[in-house]
Amino acid sequence: MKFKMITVLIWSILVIGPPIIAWRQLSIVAEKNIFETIIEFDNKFQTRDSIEFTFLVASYSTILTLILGVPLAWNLGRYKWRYGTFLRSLFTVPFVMPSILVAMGFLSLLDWFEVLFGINDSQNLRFYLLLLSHAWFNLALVVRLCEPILSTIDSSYEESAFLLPMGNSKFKRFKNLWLPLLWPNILASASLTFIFSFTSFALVKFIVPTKRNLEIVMSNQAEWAGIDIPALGQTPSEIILASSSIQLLTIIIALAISSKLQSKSFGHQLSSLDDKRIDVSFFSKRGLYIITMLILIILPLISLILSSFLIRNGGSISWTTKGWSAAFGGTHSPTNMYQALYSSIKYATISIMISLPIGFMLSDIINQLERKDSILAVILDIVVMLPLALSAVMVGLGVLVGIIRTDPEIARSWWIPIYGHIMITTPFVVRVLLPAMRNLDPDLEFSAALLGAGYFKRLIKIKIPILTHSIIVSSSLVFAISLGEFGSSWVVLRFTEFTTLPVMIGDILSRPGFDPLVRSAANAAGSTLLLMTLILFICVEKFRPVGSGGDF
Amino acid sequence: MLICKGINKTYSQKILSDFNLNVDPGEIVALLGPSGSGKSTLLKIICGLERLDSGEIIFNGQNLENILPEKRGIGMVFQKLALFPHLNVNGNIKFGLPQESNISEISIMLNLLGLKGFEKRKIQTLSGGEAQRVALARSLIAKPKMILLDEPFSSLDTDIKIILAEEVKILLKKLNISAIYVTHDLSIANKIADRVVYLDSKKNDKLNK
Amino acid sequence: MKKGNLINIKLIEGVALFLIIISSVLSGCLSENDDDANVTLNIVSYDALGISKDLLDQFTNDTGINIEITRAGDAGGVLSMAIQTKNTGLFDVSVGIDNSYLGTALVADIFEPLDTNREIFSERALSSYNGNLAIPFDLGSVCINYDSNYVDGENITVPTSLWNFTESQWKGKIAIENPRTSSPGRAFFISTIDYFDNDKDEETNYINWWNNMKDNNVIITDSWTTAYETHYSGGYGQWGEGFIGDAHAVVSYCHSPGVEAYYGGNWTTSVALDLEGASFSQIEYISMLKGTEKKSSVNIFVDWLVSYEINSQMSTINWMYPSIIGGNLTETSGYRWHSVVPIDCEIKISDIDENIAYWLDEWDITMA
Repeated sequence: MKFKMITVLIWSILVIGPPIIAWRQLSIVAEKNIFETIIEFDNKFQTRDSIEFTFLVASYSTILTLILGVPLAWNLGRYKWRYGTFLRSLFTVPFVMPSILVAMGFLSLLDWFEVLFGINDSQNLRFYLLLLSHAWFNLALVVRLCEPILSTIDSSYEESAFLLPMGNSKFKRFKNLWLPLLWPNILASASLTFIFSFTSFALVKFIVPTKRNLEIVMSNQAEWAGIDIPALGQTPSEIILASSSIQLLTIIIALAISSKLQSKSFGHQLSSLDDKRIDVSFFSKRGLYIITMLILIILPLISLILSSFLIRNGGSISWTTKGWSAAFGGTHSPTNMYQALYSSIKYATISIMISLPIGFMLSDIINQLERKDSILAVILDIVVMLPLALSAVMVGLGVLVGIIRTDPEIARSWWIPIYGHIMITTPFVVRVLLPAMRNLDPDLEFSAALLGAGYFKRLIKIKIPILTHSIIVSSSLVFAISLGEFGSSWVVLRFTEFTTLPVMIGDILSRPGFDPLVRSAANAAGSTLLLMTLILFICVEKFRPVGSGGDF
Repeated sequence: MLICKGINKTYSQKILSDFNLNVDPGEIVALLGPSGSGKSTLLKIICGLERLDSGEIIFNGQNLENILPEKRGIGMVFQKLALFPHLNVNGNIKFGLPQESNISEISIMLNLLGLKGFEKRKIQTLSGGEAQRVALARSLIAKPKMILLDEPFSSLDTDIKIILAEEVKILLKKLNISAIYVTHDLSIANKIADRVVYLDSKKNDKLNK
Repeated sequence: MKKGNLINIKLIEGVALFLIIISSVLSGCLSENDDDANVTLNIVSYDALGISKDLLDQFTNDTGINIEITRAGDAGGVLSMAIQTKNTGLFDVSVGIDNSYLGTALVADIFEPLDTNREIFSERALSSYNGNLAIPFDLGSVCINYDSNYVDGENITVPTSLWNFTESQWKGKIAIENPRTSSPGRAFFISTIDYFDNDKDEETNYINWWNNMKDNNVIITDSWTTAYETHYSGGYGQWGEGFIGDAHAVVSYCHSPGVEAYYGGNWTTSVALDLEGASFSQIEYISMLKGTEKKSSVNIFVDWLVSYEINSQMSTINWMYPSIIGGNLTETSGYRWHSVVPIDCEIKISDIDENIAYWLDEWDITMA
């Protein structure tokens, strides 16, 4: 038990410590408190309209995600498709895709729009593209949360609805049966989509570079924040103080709503094993819809790969592998792709080695506290989810202002880049493992104890083997998220040895592109990241037992 | 052998109030009581899975208060058996085998419980009665000085229940293991036990003096 | 034992073994120390530094000195990092602190003197500072570039004053970088302060101009890349992905049209606006940071960067003018021919240090 208390304590310090130190440092430099900075927020150019823009993008993205996602979940859940399992997992690919390569994929689409349809790029088009990219990213959330209810609901519900006046038309059935059943899940996926769109960084940075959401505002001011030197001024610290507070508050509210709604879900009460879903062929109206959605999912990815072989010199286009050799040779970047690949794999592996045990331990503790109906379970759950609420850029700022600025000698420590990865991936481990542990019969562990097995034997011989599937799923999630991590790594110092693939891409993209190879090199690095994520995804699909829904 | 003295346990309401019980070596005691009377809680307290609020448990002259469940030498068969789903019959039984014991004891135990040939069977493929035997074998192979049985036969048909109860009684006597058998079924209690104790939160003071 | 169980246990043991091996390999990599024969210089620089990995590898081959570059955002990020890590030995060298930040850096006392011979540098390179704490390695003037297609096509006269950009023909058609987040933006911003202080009109200053620019829908971007690549119609952006092209003038370098021509086969529609006092001569410095224990290696690196062999190629390595005497832009493909050397504004680096925070805050409020 002592052992567990220490884990909780260390985690809490790691999560809460840096932001609190950072906030303190920022308010010292700013010589203002949080409320004063918030009041003055909108009368500076750096922050003007950013709150409005952040909320606008998050809300519109959420609506668009639901418009695209709910019908998709319906069609996947209510009908039986050939290769159904594979199809469903394909629609979840976007969620694990690194955001920076999604941004590049969508940007490269702009090109084809122009070449094929003569649609010219404009600020408005960029805005719609941003919303679409958010929907693309979060589609998986809607499918994962709503589809299981639709596919496992007992057919007698619908049959009995047919016979009643409340359900004798399509519309009435939707209004009186499906909507009441689905709304907690729809709203839960909506609030998660809202959070992810609210804290979107790479997509906003690259797709709408003239606009700023709160994440961009913070990352813009990061390099001067928390430093007490007259020539650097107080404004950057003020701005970060205000933006981070507004963002944190909003996200905590949205997280609370989503967890409340998820506990209201009817998901597990309705499940029936008889499968009466209707067979549908791909050569039908519904099939056409599914195929269109599939194309939407795949399009930006294919476009990115194509663009990596494309060079535009003046008005002419040529196909070449020069972008790839530039990326591997490091001729257009401070690191070459071998180094970046090595770092990416290194940090993703280390993240698994650290996040997985910590996440396992935390889930175990939360699970045990839940069994005792302890209020501590709820508190700990919030502490675990906090890094998610803090957003990637804020985690990075916590490291930069809260750790490195307090003790610069730490800056080069090997754990500095790892810290961000751990903070960002561990909540996902808990989200996967905790439900699995809740389903685990506590008597299994009790009986092992009474047979003389100590804590570690029980862990290794009972718990881990039974949870193997969830452990593999969460490990791959950690690996994928860590591979794609951009926000926090970007804000924190970018040492050569800390440079992962996404950071390398960001580096290349921030250079002047006079040389047309620059863009191709960035696209090649993006394609490499894409291929790595896909390989990982395929490996996990091989491990996933047939018929098991995703835990995430 | 086992002495429970003045045990109290309260969750949201009082479950056990000043409960006393003595079990002699080799004795089989049946604890009889309606559901919610604290039978299962008592077993969990005895084997150390729950803490008691006040009172004492003495086992073989030793106070159990600060001894971990895995060190107490008390076995238990759970109501839902708690067989490990990822291990087969052999793996489940082997889990209970003490390190210093010989591996051949597994087949002896399998023979004893009529489970010969079941070694490689998956837990999920066993019938109710077979699963009971595996759970019992797994507990017994750990050589506990005492075994706690938490209504392990409750899900079975009455006929099989009675046959199994008799078998278990013979087995426990043969191995000279004392036992507490919890049930709400008087006929089974009579069949298996040397002594029947009634547990009712309101009455247990009077009955167990 | 059943086959499935075997696999499970083997899998776990295998994974454990794999993790142990990986972690030991990695910990071996992480604990690289400096006792090795090779010295490693830790350099803090800005993101867009053009000195590439393969060029640095050449330096390492020649001298045995390894180079590690950490990117800290823009020139301001380099300065803030250098100040933060003062005396820790974490960084040995800073590359890219420019004369708009140098005053602050000197006040913060973060540099060690270098042994570099300063007689090799051009007059322009030493114009802001000629001490031995910061050695100029490249330079270039920041000014407005315009798209001659637009100016010729619409029959607009080429602006003769910055005030022309507040007129209706430029409404919403000029992109300028945010001085808080972009180095060229900051350089141009400083030039506007000096420009309006020294013009004939005594009544107005930079704030009035910026205010009018705001009313004229000036496009302010967070980075040079966005202004030039996405908005500017006269640059290379028009050939690439993500081009809007709504701005026909942009703040960039006076030699950016030269770079355009260099890649465009001696052809570009972009022209640098040669307007006296409306440009800022940006000089970028390399410095040795206090706390380093590798002084001789730092001097070798600095001498390499300002050697004729490397420095004379700055126009293609880092898209800037060389800082040494006799160095110039390359003439290939009209690079030099399309570049303009304007008469820059004159403003002391100490004045910048003393006033910049105030100027920027005023700008922030004006533009909001």
